Amino acid sequence: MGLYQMFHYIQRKRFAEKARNRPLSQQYFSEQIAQHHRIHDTEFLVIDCEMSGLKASKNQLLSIGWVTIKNLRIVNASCKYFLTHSETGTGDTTKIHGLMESNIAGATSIASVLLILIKHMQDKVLVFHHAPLDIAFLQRAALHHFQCPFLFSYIDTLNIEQHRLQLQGKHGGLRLAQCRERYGLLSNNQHNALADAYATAELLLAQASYLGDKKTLTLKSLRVHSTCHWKKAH
Amino acid sequence: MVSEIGDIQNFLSHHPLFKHLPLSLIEDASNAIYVAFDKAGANLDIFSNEKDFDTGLIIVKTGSLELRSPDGSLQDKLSAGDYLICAELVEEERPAIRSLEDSLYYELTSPAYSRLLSLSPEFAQRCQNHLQTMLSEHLLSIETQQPALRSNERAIKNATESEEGHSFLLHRYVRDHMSTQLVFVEPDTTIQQAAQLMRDHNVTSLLVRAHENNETLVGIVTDRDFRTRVLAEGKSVDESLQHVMTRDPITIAESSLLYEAQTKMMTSGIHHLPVLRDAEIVGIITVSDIFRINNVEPLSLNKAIIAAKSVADLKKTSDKIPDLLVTLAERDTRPSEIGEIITLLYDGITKKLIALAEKNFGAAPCAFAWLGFGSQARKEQVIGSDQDNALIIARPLSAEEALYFSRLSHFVCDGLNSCGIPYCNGGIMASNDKWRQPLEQWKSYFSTWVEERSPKAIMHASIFFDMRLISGDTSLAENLQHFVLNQAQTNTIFLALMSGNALQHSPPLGFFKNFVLENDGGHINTLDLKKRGTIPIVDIARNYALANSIKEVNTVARLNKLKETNGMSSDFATSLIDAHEFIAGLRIESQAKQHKQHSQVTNYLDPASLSPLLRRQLKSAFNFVKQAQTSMKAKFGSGYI
Repeated sequence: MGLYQMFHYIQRKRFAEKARNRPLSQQYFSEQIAQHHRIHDTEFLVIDCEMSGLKASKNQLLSIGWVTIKNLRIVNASCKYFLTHSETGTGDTTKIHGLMESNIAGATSIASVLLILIKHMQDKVLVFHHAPLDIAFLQRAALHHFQCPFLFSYIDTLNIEQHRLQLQGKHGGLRLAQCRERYGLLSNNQHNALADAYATAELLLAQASYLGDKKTLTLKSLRVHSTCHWKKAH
Repeated sequence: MVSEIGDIQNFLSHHPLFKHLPLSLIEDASNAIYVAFDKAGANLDIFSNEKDFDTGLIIVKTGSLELRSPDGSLQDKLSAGDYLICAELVEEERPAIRSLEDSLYYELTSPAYSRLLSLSPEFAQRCQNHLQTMLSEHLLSIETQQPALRSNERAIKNATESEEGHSFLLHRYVRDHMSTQLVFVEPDTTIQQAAQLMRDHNVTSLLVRAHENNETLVGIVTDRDFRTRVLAEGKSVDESLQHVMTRDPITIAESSLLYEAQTKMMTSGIHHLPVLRDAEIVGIITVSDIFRINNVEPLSLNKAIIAAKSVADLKKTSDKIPDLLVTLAERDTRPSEIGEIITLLYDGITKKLIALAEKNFGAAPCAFAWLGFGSQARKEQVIGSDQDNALIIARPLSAEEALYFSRLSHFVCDGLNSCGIPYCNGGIMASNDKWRQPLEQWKSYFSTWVEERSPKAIMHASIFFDMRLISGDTSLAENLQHFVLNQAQTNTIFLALMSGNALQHSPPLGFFKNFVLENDGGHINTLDLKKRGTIPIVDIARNYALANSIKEVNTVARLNKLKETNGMSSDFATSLIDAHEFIAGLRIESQAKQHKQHSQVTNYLDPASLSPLLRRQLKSAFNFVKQAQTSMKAKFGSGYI
């Protein structure tokens, strides 16, 4: 058993009973997507979150955007973008994202956004650029609202890029725009969760195209991971 | 959820194929788009059945793609903004598509493509035009192998040509043709007052607003209403308008196409439509506005030229010619017709100047012929074409007589220059002693040039093949023309030399290769449409005409005659005519635009200003000219011996 299967096994063992008959139950009672699954036949959900800071314990999710990839093509109609409630102020990152507290009025509650997300995650592999940060916030929110964490497979475009540069013996920036530039993808000035999710999706297509024959590539070549959360909610 | 105007929607609303669609259809289209990426050298899986949808159309966002026919020959290259209509390809015709550089491209699903076709006539028209260009390009490329297929091409062409009559309404917008002179009245205005207002403002309709301070449109009243609802029903002219006006009139948005306006008027049986920008009334469009678009009347300028009494009068009239060009170009007049109209006016100016000279200096001591060369001879003049002219005199002259012709020639050439036909840089003008000679001298000039065979001599000799009498003695001009054609035709080496001369101007194909591969366009220079585009075609037509002793001088006329006499294959000639008309058309359009923007009128064009569609067409026209040059070289040989 590799780490990929083992992580999945550990988290499942830890939370399966808690998840039973709750919104997350399907994630705990369906098969893990195999590492040798062809990416051409895999559906991906590319996600980007914006937070009020970098610490999941202190800061809040402000917005979330996602888009799906199917047959290695971005499905333009699948774009979704939500602003979420924040109980405290918006913190320090408001300048970066151009999000003001006034924008956040009229936003959707985190719980309902998470419920929609659960539906869209089903049978998909998640994609993030710099996964640990977004995942920390998502898991914290899931624990808070559903008393158990998400269980999913995911890939990290930053991780793919880092590995590629290592293999080539090169150094280079790993920020989203820097990675995209290496594939001739232009940066846009828009900076919100959906635009960044979209930009990450394009980056993944470019990376996949460079990794080998699209027809035979598997999830393993995209360095697929599983979540492995075993700490209880406090 | 927050609604977003996505990148793709934004991209589509600026793309030539989609930008005219209403927002709702652009939204529909963007929801049916899939985005894919392929690295340089990869093969695209557009036609694979391993995906959930059939691709109707692909559009390149960044990068470039290469299309190869099933037999492996290069079919086309697509760069940013270019597209391929996959839905219309039968299975055997599907090209292999490979990406030449890292490419991001959009796929529109086949059902969405069909929906757009059925919902937007303009989209359908644009796709049709595109497919037709693709088809002729494709057929040209296989011309030598499969002549049988060419009849299809012609059939399609004839079919679309017959539709040209109303297709111009598909490309024009209400806002460009509406009248902005609006006269508002209130509902309590009397019929009498209203009729007086119409007369005073010279309008055929009045807009009725709620109050003086409230521009909400409550009705419209037209001259026809007065006829049918007032006179015919015997109403008093003191009654107020509200009893005869049409309430809540049908309106149209200023961004609508003319054909929509026409359809609206026809289906509701009305002649006037108020035009709205958002909720505000900005103009009115009438049935006669639509009729007027196709109605060309350049002859008033010609009348003014004939009536002119001085050089100043002529100048006043000639100053209006650039405006005429703009009008003609906007009315989609055929480029060859525009050339003829402009030449006709310049001919008139020349004739008038000669008549004025004879009035000033007295009658000429002997017969003479004023010749026009180059574009004037070919009836292909545009704004800024310089003068090329010469004088044949019936006999050798005394010193005093020579002075008379010198004064006459200077008067005419100076006059032409002040009328916007600049002096010739090469000095080919009757005011130059060398170009004002007795008939016998002209003949010996020509023989010497043919013998000498230097590039400059050949250049001079070639001028005489595009020659036309503008004013004076017909027999002098015919005598010289006959002599020249005889000399040329019996001299095969001369034809080879002419062909070599013609090959000096080649279409800028390398230029387009760069164009395909460069996205930024920063280092693309402008393109000389005359030197690179029309001259090569003019040269080809002239050489073939010479070899077949065809007397016609106009390029299109030469090619038509060559077609008739089998001097050139009929498809070859037709394609050259099309290429010539297309390039000449671009040149005229670009000049009209320059004139409208008050910048200097030139032959230069910035290729970046062209839509991807036009760029493709220009590319294919250049490609064809290049092919034609190659076959000319094979036929006549080339170069100097």
